[in-house]
Amino acid sequence: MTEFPLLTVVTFLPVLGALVLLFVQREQEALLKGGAIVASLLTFAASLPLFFGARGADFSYVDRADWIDAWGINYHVGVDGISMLLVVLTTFMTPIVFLGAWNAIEKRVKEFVILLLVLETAMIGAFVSLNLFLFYMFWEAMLIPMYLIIGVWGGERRLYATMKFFIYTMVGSLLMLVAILYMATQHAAQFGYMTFEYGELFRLNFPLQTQLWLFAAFALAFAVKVPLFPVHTWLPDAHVEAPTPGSVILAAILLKMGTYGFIRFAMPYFPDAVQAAAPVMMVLAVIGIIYGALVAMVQPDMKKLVAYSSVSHLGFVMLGLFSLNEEAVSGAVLQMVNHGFSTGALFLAIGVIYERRHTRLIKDFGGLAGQIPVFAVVFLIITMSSIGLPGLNGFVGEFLILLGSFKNAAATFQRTGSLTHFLIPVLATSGVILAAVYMLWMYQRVMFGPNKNPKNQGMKDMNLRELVVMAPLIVGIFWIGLAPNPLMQRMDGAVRKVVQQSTGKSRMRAEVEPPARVLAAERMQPAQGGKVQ
Amino acid sequence: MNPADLNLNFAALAPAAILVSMAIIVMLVDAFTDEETESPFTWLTMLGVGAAGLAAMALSSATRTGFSGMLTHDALAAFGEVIVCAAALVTLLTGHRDLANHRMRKGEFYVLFLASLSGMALMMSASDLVMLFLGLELMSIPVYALAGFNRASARSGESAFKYFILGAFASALLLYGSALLYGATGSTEYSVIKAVLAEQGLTGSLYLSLGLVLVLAALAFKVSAVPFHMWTPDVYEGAPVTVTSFMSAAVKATAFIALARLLSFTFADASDVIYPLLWTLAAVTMVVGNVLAVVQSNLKRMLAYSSIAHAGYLLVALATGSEGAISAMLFYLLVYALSNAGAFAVMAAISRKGEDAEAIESWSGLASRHPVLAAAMALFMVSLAGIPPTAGFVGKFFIFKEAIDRGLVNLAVVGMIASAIGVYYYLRVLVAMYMREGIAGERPVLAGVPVQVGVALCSVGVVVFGVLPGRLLEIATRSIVGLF
Repeated sequence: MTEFPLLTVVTFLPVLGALVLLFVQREQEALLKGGAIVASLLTFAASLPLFFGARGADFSYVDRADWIDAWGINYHVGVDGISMLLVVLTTFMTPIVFLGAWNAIEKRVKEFVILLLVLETAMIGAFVSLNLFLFYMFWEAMLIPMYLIIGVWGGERRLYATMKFFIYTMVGSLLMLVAILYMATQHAAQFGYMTFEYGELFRLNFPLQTQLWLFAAFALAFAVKVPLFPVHTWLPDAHVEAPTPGSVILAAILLKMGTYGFIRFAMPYFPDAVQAAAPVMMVLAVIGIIYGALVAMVQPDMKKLVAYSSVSHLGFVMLGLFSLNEEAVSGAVLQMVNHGFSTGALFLAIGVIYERRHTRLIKDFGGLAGQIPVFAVVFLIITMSSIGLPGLNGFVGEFLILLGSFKNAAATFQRTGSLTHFLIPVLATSGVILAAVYMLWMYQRVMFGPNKNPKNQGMKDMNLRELVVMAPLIVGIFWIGLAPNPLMQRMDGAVRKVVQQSTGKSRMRAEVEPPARVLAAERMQPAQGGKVQ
Repeated sequence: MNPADLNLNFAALAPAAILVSMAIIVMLVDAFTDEETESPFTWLTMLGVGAAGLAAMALSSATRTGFSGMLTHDALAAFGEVIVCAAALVTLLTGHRDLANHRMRKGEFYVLFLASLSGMALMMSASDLVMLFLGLELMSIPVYALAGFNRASARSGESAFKYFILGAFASALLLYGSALLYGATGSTEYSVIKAVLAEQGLTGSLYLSLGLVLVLAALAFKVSAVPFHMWTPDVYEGAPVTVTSFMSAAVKATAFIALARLLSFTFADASDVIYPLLWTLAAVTMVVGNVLAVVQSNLKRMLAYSSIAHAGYLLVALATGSEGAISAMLFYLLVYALSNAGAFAVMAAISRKGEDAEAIESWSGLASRHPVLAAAMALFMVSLAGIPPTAGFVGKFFIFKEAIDRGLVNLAVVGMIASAIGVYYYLRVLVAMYMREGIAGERPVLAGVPVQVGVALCSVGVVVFGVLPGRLLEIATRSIVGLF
């Protein structure tokens, strides 16, 4: 198995780029930005084979190396149909962010591009890790760059926002670390050797009470990142204060960490706890959908509006995940990708007018459609995508989620005769309507009406760079909306497996490949011998 | 008594002997050179410390008992000596200029420094309560003097005085506890006390329990565990940066290693009484240290409370008490020494004549004044906060892994919440360095070559042990063989 370690290359290319850029003079800003774009484009190019080579439930492009042997910690990465999509989303968005940020970052360009490249590696790493220790390393390693990006290049209240972001995430993560350690030590107690390997830990079988605690620890860490109501309050602050590229990365990729964590870890590992907690999670998700939408409606600041709309959208994803059937989960995964496209594009669009006017308040605008017609079209497409207009990407995901959610409610009805479960999809559907309300109302106030504000009358339309930034996103929005099948096919098997695992229909114990176990057992023998002496 | 019974095994004494010899040499050089010439004290001292460290490494493979069982130089002691010597070397490298700033580059300073180090070596290899006391005093008394070495500063004097009074109190506790243990067991030797404890346990003997608690309290004072921590912030604040750095890394490591020997070996059979005590001590220390650090605006005081918090994490290892936990403690001690010495080194580098950079404002905008030092400081703060991929994270991971393995899940949760609080104050330094503008007209920071070397060594250690900790973990695991 001496294949080319493609996934490792994809993961560490950005950091390699950052290392090279470290030696570029800080005055040569164009070179720094250009170098970052090249590095991230190369990463994207390197990740393209993954899109064509990885699908289904099996992990492909697996790379593995010993690391801290005695503790069962390995460098072990691989992608299945779900994580592949998120990796490609990450590598796709990063060059766009760099190009979009060309003018948004005015000071300390060198630090900025290096941090963003480091962040990219950490994000890809978290998506591809198949060892819980490695995952935790990448997971935490994302924090510092994001913390600095918000804190150094952010707006007025950046210190407050960045600290809040960090503390929220940290508390959740540390409790997850306790849970990870508990699982590893339990594995040592039950099977004779310690391991942090993703696949091997499926052998553990906990009683419900323990599962609930462990699930809670994982879920808290991930729920903060999602962000799920009621631990979402850091998000609007972080989004508003972050510079445009920071917001885009945060919305498009970092938020997916949370939902990905649920799919990959929290749900498959603890099926009994998931069954028990699913109603609570679904209710929280629905509260998030409606609450996020209502609060978004009254925001005077466009960025804050989009931030709250993220709370609402991610609520849909969570609802999909915990509906626990294939339709809903694949809808949720698709919606993760969709949200990356549409909300990323929304933040970029807001960045476009912010760069011209240095304000994001809706009341400062009005009648822009006549002034900057190209932008108006682009913004309209993105807005529609965010609302979930049929034919655009958002529709497919939301439709599948709602379908799955109704199916879940129907199943509950058949089992228990209780109709209350139907409330969940019904209320969630109203969230779609609310989304149309707040998005269209914002669009109307910004774009239509008389162009009264004299400061807006000299505004220039989008330039070539901005169009180049937006074009791939728009293409993606249409592509997923009209032909989602390529994505659906790739995630299919993986989604099925997640659903089976999360509903307890397949304990993966039998599927742990024997070589790993034998190898590990061999590894342990000398160590144990040593202890006897 | 036959001289052979004395068992004068000088190899067991080698590192301490080297340090004492060098102290004498420095004293002589000081006597025969006049004040004006640039004296080679720093380099002589570094030579002595380096030699002692190498001797400790060379001796680490075997256990040597000497001086009628007063000393046991084993791998544990050797590991401790290496930590202490490494911390001392970094301190000397980076304190070079700071000492000149305070006009402290004098022979006495180095003599005291070396004497204190030799006390540490003795204390870590002590296998008799009398030797423990001797080592403790030989370590502490020079440090009291060092804390007050900045004679121009009233705070430095106050700090020395406070440290001395409270330290003397702790010494008295240790002495009294030893006396009680002697009364109950008829010996001060660790192995005899262990045998008596194994035979009769703690029940029935008030002297034994009281003695034990007093000895532990004395050492808890030295590691600044809550509620014996009151002296720490004042002393850290008042002492010159270089001394604070030395104290925080070396004195703490020494006391913890002495504690580990007592708890895992001597008092091993009283564990069911001691471990609940340690559990409480660890939990309270972690929480109090981290919470009080949050409200500090003086960086030295903040690092003092942070050192209390770290004592808490180390106490978790002691409260766990397994072999793995003690090796985790060793790993953590080294990592903590590196991160902390690095942080103080940066502080020393940006300090000005007659005034240490302890106000958080003096760190504002360091990222633009000196990007490399700022990045190093950020690395040390991140490591102290326990965020990957730094050695501080692996250390914390190791300790809590062992704790959870032994079923101390609750203690681990307390520790994790405490360290989440801790993240806040470490990040404040990053906020100051990266997110606030410096004072206009601030002179650029000039760090000399020795400082750069010291900071670079600490940074490399923090990153390497964070990403590839395997080798060091192995050594730490091997170092406790023979302790249990």
